Amino acid sequence: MKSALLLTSCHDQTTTVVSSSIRGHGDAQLSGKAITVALAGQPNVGKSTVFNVLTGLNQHVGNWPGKTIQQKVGTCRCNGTTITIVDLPGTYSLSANSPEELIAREYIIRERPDVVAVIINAAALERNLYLLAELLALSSPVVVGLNMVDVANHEGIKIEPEVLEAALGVPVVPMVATKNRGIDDLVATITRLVAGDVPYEPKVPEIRPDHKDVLAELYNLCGAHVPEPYPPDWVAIKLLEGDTEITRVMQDHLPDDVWQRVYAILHAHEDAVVDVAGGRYEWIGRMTRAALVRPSIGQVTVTDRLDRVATHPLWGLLLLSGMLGVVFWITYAVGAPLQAWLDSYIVGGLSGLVDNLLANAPLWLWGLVIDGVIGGAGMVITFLPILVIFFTAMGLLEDMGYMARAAYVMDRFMHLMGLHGKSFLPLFVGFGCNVPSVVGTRIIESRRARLLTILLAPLVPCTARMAVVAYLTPIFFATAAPWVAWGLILLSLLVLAVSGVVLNKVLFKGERAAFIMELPLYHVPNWRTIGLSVWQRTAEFLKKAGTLILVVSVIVWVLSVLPYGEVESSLLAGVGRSLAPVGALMGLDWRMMVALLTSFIAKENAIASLGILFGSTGLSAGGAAQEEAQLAVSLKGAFTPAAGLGFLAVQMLFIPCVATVAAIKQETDSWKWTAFSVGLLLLISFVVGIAVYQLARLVGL
Amino acid sequence: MLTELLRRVAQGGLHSAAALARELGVTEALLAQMIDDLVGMGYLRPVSGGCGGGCSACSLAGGCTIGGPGGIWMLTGKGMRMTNEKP
Repeated sequence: MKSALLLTSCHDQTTTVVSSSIRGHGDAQLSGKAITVALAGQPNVGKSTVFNVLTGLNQHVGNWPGKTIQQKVGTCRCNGTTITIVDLPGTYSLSANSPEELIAREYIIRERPDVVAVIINAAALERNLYLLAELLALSSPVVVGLNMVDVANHEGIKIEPEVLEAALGVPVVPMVATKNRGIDDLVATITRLVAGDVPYEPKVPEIRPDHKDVLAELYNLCGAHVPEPYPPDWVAIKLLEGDTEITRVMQDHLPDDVWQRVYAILHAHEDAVVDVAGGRYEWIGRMTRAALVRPSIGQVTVTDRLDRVATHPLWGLLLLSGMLGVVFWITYAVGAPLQAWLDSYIVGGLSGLVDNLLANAPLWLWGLVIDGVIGGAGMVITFLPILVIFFTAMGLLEDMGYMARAAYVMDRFMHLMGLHGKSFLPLFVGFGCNVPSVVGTRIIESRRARLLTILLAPLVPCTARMAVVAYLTPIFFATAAPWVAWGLILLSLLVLAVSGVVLNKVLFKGERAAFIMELPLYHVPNWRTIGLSVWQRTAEFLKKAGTLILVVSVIVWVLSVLPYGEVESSLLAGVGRSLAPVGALMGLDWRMMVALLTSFIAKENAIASLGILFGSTGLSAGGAAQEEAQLAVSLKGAFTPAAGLGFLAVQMLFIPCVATVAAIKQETDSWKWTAFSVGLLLLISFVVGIAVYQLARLVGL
Repeated sequence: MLTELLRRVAQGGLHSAAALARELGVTEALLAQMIDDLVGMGYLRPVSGGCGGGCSACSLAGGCTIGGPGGIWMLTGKGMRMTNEKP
């Protein structure tokens, strides 16, 4: 009933089609029977709905003069007054950043409509007020149509229109345009405003005090030369804002000497644009503080509450450490027994089966398949449960939205250690894989800062290194394995921090960098997404095991039997023995050193090589099935926990895989820096490995 | 308010949008608009696609914040200069 009444009483639609030649301000005042209203607003605030309800079929659709942007003009009648309504393009501001903004402001300035009715979305009041702040600086009076109040109420946002009206000093009409509510009030308010029956004392945004004098100077210089119909005070503000269109207009109209002075002022106050816009934001803040009641804390921000802990400088770090600890504990508690089962029954069983099948085959073929393929690549396949659990845990944390918080607190941590803030993003990515970590340093503009980050990137333990840790720690440390793994990660990060501080001081000083990051909302994890992510990562791992690791396993086996068919006298042993003196400082024999060397191709190769070197008896022995499953026993028997810890420390910090080294070469575009990186990591890893081994011995491990 | 936002960011490191909005007493939606404005003015710039297409090799691609759903912006040289010059 209400809408029917509205249409008959106020929207007495005429059949007149109004052309794009709009009747202006002066005409309305003279006749009192015809007024022009410009309908302004941001996109998607219900402006078109208001226009359609008001004008019905009395619309003319064309283009704005000289533009391809649609122009809609229509009419309605209210209490004997003919209202011409011009639907301005939807804009976020009037800053001449787009043709739409330019059309909207040029129309208001040149045609001077009797009223500008700005439609704003009550559910996004703050965002919508910016346009209003700009409209108030122009000549036409403004009426605010506070639309979508139902949506705002539904979202728990309460706006008091009377308070907003008092704060703004302009009429505010609450509306729900889609339900035809409040539109008659809007039209009535417009006609009353034109008739002078409504108070109109707009509170316009002010510029910061330190630029008021500059603004006054510009006004004094330009005021007399501002062409009609531009308001001189508005022109002065737009000049200070660096508005290209107004600057061009004033350059054309100012005498040369005056323009030179204006230009000098603008050049000296280039950053005033921040103050002008900042003044509008301060004004928005005042308006919303006065009239807007936000939802209560409990409703809004479960995320906020969680983040008080998760992003806290201290609690956030402790939480991250705890999370890593839990991930490793679950990985060991569930994954390690499964890995041992796979090792014993699948790899061992497969070896036994193939052993029988190849009973009459040549000895080299038997050795290649049993020792090289199954003992090497097959051993790596037993990582699968550990990796699946690890990937699931990481996927869960990512999908819940926690990983962004981890990045956030890690950045603070790195800053405390004197690291470059900008480096955190690529370094954090390194937890997954060092290759994108190195490539990701492209976000860093300073070459020296990039180099530093590239040098540090391989010190972030990637999943492949952690898989090796996950395999070896239970062998040497049984139930204490999760703590050791956790400690090794902390050791890596500590070394990274110390290296960062040292290199930072050597390579560059005092450069700051700053980021703003949107932390996504926490949400209930989607198991399908996590499952897909785990599957992709697992498939990638299996692909690597079936290609790169398999090939390296075969090469390692061939080198371990050439030339005499004995591991002890093989080419590989020769290479390994040359490194034995260094290894001895860490309690490692040549086989462990070879394992380290082969990890250069892919980190998992360390285990594959140990599988071959400790499982193989060259080309002279049978009964491989039992031997393949005995790597854990062999390692435990051959090395003390101190040596095991030394090996793990070295492999955490050792030269990264060949793919990462290739990425370093690509990104630094320098063999010198690539060699420096490799040399630095060799030095760091051996120094730390020796220190860890010697310390572990001292404490009796 | 924009100056205050830039000044806080320029202290260095990583700032969460939520924390900045809280400190400035505005909603995150308004902060997003302020960030857009500062990008338009050349004081901030969005960081995206930083890994140069290395995502396929990265196990963190799914939850990556570089070019992911949550935006990241960095202070530009112009932003840094302005905050250095202003008290």
